[in-house]
Amino acid sequence: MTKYKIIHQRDKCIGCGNCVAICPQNWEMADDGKAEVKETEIDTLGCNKQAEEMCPVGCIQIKEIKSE
Amino acid sequence: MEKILSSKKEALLLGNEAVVRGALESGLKYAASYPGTPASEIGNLLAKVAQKKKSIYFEFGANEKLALESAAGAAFSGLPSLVGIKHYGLNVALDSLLPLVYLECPLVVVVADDPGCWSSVQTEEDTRWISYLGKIPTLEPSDSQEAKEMTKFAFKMSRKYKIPFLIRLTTRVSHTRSKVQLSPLKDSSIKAKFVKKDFTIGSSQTVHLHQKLLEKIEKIKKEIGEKSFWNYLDGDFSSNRIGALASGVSFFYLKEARERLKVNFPILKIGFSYPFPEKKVAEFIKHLRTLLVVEEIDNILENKIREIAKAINPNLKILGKNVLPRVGEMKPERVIRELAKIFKKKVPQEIAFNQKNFSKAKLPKRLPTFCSGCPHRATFWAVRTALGKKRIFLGDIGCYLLGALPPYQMSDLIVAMGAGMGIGHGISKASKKKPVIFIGDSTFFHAGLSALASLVYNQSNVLVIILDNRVTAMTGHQPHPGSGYTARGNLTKEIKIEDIARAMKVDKVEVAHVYNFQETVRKIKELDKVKGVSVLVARGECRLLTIRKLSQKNISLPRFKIVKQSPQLEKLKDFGCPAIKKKNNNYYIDENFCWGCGFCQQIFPDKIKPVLK
Amino acid sequence: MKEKNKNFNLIVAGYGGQGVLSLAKIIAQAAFFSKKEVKQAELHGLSQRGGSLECHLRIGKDVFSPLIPQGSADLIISLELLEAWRVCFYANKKKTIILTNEDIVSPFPFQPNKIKVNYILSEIKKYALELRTIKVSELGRKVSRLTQLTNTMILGWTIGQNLLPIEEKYILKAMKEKFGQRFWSENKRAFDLARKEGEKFKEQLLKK
Repeated sequence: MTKYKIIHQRDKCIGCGNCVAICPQNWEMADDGKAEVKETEIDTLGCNKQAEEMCPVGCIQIKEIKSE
Repeated sequence: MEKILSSKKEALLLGNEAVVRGALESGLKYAASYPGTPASEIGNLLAKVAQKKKSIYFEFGANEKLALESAAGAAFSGLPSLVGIKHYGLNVALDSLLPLVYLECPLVVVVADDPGCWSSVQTEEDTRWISYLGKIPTLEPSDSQEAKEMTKFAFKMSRKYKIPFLIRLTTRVSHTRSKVQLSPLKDSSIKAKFVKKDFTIGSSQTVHLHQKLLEKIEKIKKEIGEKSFWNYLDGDFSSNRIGALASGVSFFYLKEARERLKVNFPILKIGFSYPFPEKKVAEFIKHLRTLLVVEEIDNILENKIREIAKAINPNLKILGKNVLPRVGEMKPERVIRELAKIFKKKVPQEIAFNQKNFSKAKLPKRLPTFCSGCPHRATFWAVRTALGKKRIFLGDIGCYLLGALPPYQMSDLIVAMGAGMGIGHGISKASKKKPVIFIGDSTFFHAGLSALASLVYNQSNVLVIILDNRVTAMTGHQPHPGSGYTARGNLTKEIKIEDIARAMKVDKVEVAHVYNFQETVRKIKELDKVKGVSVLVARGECRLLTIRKLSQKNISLPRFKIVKQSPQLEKLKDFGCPAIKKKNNNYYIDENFCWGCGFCQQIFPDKIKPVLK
Repeated sequence: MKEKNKNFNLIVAGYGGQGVLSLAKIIAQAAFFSKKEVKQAELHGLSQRGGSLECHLRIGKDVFSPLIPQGSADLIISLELLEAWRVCFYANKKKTIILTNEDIVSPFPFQPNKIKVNYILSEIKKYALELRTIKVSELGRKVSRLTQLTNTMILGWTIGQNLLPIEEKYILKAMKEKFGQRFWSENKRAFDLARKEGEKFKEQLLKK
């Protein structure tokens, strides 16, 4: 079964809120003014793919992981 | 788009749209372009048509020379082919176009000039000189109906005489909408075939072809030029022995003036202007005492007339660019005033009144600027922050040319497509200073590849900032070799600019996400330390494109809000975002203009926050 | 007495990004639907990046010049006040009605406009037979996405005052074609709101 792993480089995050606007199901703003991903391992991409595309600084990466 | 493929009897079309319709009514099979206003709609429309109709091929070449060559190859293979570009683009393609005239290529070349430079910055060029330089038969439409019919005529004649035909538009023909009678579309069933012929080269061959071309031009003049219905008389001769002559949209300014002033004189309209119809013009001017010539931009027709008048009517008073403006676009009131003088009539009241008073109005100019959230603004701000404003900056052609205007004013020169690279290099070699060269992604593919090779090869010392907003934005968001998809919307190889720079052995290459302020500033500073050629690929998608894509998915980005007032915010004046405003010493972000890029938040992280729903 | 032009000469003005071109295209298309002859001149590209923009529309028999000569406009419609002033080049005290949005957008990003509204209005009046203004920002206070709908509202206001020689049904047909299904209802609402305002305005004028 293939799952996806979301890697969010918070040190690069600029807190623009784009990912939260595009994918509120899995992204929210944390108290430090940066975005935070809720679930890092997901079964289906959903809106996360768009969040990855839209991140202006490219700090969101989605990788496919295959489990035995 | 539906209008272009319509089976109705008439439609309201721009001149550019009418050209495309004319091509489709002629059985067009192959076309190419490179975006350039005022010709851009030709390519845009053909791209949409080619997406819908698989029997027609269209592509955006990396530059106009490639677009022309591509269409020429198809023309040599027997397909009805067209290239549509702006006047500077014809300059770029000229090296190939001129020999193609010798080599009998049956290609239709549509060029749009821009009198008054509404969307052009290089020169105020008149393409008709190229008709003479290249000996290329040329048609000048005055409105959309003529644009369509002349295109059809060009397809027929270029095929018959085996020679490129040039259609010369200007802004007020390209971008004016008027009613056009439509004819059925023609679905050409021509199969492409390149027929091998005996081909030879050598100086005697070229000279021989030149001679053949001269003979062909004479033949065209005799068989169609002199008899052409595109050159016709409008109005009757009058005892006042005054006449006028015009080509292009200027013809309509004369008609307007004639009606306004209620005077009577004939106008010889020149629509097929090269080869120049000497006999027809001689017939016309033979019995005149006064002739007014109205044309954009240079006095090309006028000079030809002066030549022939010497022999047939030496006393003819010829009025042209000695009384009408030599620069700028022709305006109807200018023609009205000149004719009023000739006919000794009073200038109509409304024109006289305004002329006196309007120039005194103290109106501030409204200059164009970067859109809200534009990645170029982010790049210019980062460069300004990292390097200051005192460096030597070379600008180039594209949306980023707006960096030359206030509040940035970070361009010491803008010359032509890709010229910033070569000129910056020359400055670096001569003055031993390290200039900062701005060049866009589309401009880079257009002219920057050989430029970069030349700079590396000649050991230049420059910092090149390649602004990669993913598309050719200024002209309407067309794709280019770095975009990853073709004009027809098919996925294709996406050429990465940083890969090219590395392959060309540039001393240091970095890629930055421009909306990441800290990262971009840091990388600029690092690259500036390099002695040699360093390249920053400043990447950030055109905001207008982003917003459009998101709005189609019904996603709206967060707006930003100033949460803490401070005199430090005055710095944002130099940032120049149209969404950031000041009212009664209170700074605020107008939510109607904010496009949610968040860059201002990085300048003042404690004072600006996103407003999330 | 108001002199009659052979053609109906209309200038549509504003700055790039306001929807000036869309508005001009709708009116031109509507004229075409009503079987009238029309020529409409516009500009693309550089001027749209926030710079001044003017469109010329000429409706009637035998339209010659696509550009309206100086001082020859019958009607000027402007989406912004400074731009209305700028196109007074085409206005004439004997015949031009100028309709404009009274809202000002500063030509300099960030710096507020310093020229007083009353001064601008008095300057424009020098060239107008009649000057009629509306503050779209106030009328459209309940309208969301007002920036995108300013041009529709100005159109509705103009139609409400019966100032275009084109029947409303053709205007609506052209609007539908331009905006498509997606944006139709919000544009129609904004249009109707402004049209009512225009009708009220006309009634008040007649009472005077």
